[in-house]
Amino acid sequence: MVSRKPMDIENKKLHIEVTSRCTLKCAACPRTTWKEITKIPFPKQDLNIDDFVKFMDCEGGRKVELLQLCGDYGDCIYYPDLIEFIKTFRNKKFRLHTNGSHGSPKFWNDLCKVLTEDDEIVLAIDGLEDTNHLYRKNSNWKSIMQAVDILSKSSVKLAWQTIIFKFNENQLEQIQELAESKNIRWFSLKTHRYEDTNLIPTKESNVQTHYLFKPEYTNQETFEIEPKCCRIKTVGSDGIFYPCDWIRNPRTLYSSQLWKDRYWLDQLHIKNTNFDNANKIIKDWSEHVRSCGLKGNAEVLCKMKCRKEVSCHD
Amino acid sequence: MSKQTSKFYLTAEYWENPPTIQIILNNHCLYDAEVKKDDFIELKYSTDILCNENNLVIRRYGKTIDDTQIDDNNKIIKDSIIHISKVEINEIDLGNIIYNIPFFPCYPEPWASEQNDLGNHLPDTIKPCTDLCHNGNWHLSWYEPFHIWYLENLWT
Repeated sequence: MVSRKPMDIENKKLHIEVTSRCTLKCAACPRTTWKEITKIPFPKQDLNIDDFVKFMDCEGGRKVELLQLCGDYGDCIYYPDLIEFIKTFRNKKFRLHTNGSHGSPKFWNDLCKVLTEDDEIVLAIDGLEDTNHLYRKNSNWKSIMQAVDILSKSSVKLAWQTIIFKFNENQLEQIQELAESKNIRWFSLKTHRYEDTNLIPTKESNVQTHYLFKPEYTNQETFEIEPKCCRIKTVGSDGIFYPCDWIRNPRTLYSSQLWKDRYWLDQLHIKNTNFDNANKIIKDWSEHVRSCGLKGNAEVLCKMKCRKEVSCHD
Repeated sequence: MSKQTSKFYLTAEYWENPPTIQIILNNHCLYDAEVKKDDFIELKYSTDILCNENNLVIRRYGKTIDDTQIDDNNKIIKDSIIHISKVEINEIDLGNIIYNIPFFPCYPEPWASEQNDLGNHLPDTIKPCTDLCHNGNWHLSWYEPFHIWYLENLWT
């Protein structure tokens, strides 16, 4: 048996945000946070396919097996070039994450034509008809169910992901039943990001507590950090290769060293580099994060998400 | 012509003459008047006066030593102070950032010389300073785009 080197495993999957576009207004979404803080809408950004093709045209890029289209600011189904993007990388598997709203039947049928049984669509549906919109604001149940029905008839694998909130914590069995009645694999997720206290589950066991902010993270104290950058790096719709998608939140990115010390981001524009070279920069950044932890000046975010005891459990 | 709006929530504490301020943006004086007890100043100005780096100054002027009364123990019993409660630019509340804005005081004479003679060092800059007890300039600098500057300074 040939064992894989850790680097190979890290680079089998690549997380990409293809667009910043979305029709929803979920409370904890960075685009909602952006609008609340800056009072202006988040700019529309679409990943440039040609830039991404060139970025992936290297040894490491060719070895990536799975492209995971999962937005931070946007939802991949609103990317105008989604079908073309998938066709361009048909030598790889795809996993698409979407809220499923507002797509036309033609769009879903076209999507089904370019996806295969090796691909997967993860539908983020957090409730039933009477509750899904309580977090997924502006979502449209009828159009989601239309998408589900079209996708169910295709060969693509389907998953239904439900984030646990106060409004659905007693409804999870019904949601699971509905998903499974449509032959869709169902799973639930705990979160710690709500932005609206009315959304916090009443049962603490339904909250993902190990990522929660603690005031001591603001202290300049030594922290053992086990950075996950090399595993969870992500390409943003702005064409930048980020060490993680968490840092892209407007509350964290602009106050981070990654943003302020232009040395890092200047080397991470996909237009000017390739996957192999960008990975080296991410690795250097990862070492920098580890070293900052030991010096007592790590980012609060890195302490929340990648302190050693958390990383060891992930 | 596009416009930008800044809002200033100020409180004046005085016993005789209301304090006076100018609000100056990139050397354009946008406001020159007395501050009332609880004042709200809304300024609309053309974005043409904005630069890559902008300087907004709240300039307190006109305070004299007569505006401050002290008792026999040199304790202040009546004074004239402007308190800056809140500043908004483009509908964005600067929040705690106002505590990182420096104030460059102009100390009154002969009080400043007396303090010097007594060995009391009077600082050239005071930060944080949202209570303008002396004449001087409260000097906010930012670069465009304002919202990115704001995000960069949100937690500092």
